[in-house]
Amino acid sequence: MTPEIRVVFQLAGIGFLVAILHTLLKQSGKEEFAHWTAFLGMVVVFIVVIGYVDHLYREIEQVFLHQ
Amino acid sequence: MVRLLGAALIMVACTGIGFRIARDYRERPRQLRGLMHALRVLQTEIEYTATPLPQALERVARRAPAPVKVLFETAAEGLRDPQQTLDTAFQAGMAALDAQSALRKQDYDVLWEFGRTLGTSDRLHQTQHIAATLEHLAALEREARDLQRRNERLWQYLGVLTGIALLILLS
Repeated sequence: MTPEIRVVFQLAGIGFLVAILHTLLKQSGKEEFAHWTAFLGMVVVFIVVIGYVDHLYREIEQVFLHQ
Repeated sequence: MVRLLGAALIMVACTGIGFRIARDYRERPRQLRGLMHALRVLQTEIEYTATPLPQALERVARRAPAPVKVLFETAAEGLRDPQQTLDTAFQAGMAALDAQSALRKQDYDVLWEFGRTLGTSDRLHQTQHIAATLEHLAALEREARDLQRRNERLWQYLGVLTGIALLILLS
């Protein structure tokens, strides 16, 4: 598995888990925890994604600006 | 190979923690019921047979279910030592029970209130105190069952899911 595909699956897995956790916590009446887990999942995903977006922009910079 | 081993360890640890917490939720109503049963036995010992307290406690210890047994065993044992009062013996029993039960602070508060009244008044008041304690414990048991219904399954899933989340994050 190439690293890029791996990251896609990783993020999908996090999304799945956060969705399950959210419904689970909501069902047992812990709404505030449910919202916190959703928020935390979002933060984790953003941290991963921001690294890749940063990488992408540097690549673009290299291609178009440093010829 | 090492990665797989680490993944297995993380899964086992997280699942174990989840099930451990769930077990406390499951055990608390059962132990409260055991406590109520033991107190009823003590009530009959005091009310109908008027057994002296050390012997009564021993008899209750013999008939009480597993974790609750320790409370009365330790208290009865403490009473054999002439240096100890009933108060200290009962407190030692509560400490021994605390080490291996799933009971919470509010349960011990009720027990402690009961322990202070034990052996300080005549038979009639004694049974009244026990009846009041039983009522308290029944209310706590209802509440504990409600908590169990809402939290037991939740913690089991939570442990497993946290394990999987860690695996995904670390992989």
